[in-house]
Amino acid sequence: MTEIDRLVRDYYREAKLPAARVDAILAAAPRRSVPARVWYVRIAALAAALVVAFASLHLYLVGRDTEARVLAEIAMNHKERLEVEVTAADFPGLDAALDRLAIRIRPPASLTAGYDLIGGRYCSIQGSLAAQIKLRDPASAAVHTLYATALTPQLAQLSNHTTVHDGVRITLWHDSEVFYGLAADALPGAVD
Amino acid sequence: MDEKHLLQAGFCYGLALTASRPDAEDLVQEAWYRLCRRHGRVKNRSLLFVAIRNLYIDRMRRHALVVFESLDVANEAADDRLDVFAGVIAARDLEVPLAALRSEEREALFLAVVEGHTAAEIAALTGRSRGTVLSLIYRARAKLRRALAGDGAPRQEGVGR
Repeated sequence: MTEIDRLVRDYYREAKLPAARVDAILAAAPRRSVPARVWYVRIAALAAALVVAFASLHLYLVGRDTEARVLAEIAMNHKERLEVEVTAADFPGLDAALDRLAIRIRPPASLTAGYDLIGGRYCSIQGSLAAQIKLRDPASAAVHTLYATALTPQLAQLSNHTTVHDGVRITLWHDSEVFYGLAADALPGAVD
Repeated sequence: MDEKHLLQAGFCYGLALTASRPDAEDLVQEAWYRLCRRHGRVKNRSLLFVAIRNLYIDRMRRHALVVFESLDVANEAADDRLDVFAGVIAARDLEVPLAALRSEEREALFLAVVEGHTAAEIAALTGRSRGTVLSLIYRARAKLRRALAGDGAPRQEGVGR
């Protein structure tokens, strides 16, 4: 190191920010502030999350409400045990007789048990014209009622499942066009 | 390095840029606050130096004080009379000769001599070529030698105060 370099180094090493100034700067140093743009993004994200959450909750509650009303309707119709208006030996005959329906009445593919067809009548499910079809289980002689109506967006939200409602065991399901509900008397002890 | 030492290092760098203690104080304070606002705290020396340098350049542009000087005399011969004042001149005597240097020369000399950076490192830090950095350091030393050898302080140039 040359003499010049030593002098320069010593000059800068002796140069000191006054201690009071150092303390003042450190004491007054601002805390980190989040830019306004970041707050806008955070608020927008929170708002979007709330909208999604409310929409999901709304759909869930509407769906649950719809399911409860459909189950109550099917259970009530099943328990009223109204007589059939049209007797038919097979599904094509019943379909020809109940010609005001927006759907074709045919045995649902998922209904595998061998039921005997008794007949049917018009009814409604959630305000839509539906078929109430009476079936007899040859093994137990119990009469089951099958409900079929055109699939609506509201009904499409209901999941396929079996439950007991008001003493009636009800299975709900749908295919691409038709919404079905199969009702049977629940076994004693079955709970809602 | 704790915050107080960081501040002192920043102050010295600011002094190398401005050759003015009040300006160096203002510079390091404003750079410190900017970094605190952005990062919460000042994390390291290089970050502080970059902030100080950017702030200094902004101020110089605002006041249009940057003066360019040709480097065509970079290869002038070294003055061999330099060591005659060894032990005679105190570091404080450098204030006026240093202030008379161009800010680029002071900065390069400071980074080399005080911070211990190589010419290549200074080139990377300051965005200049290594050759330019070497020239700046050479010229700064030569001007100081002349001033301290009794040729009088170098003519005031650039932004030095």
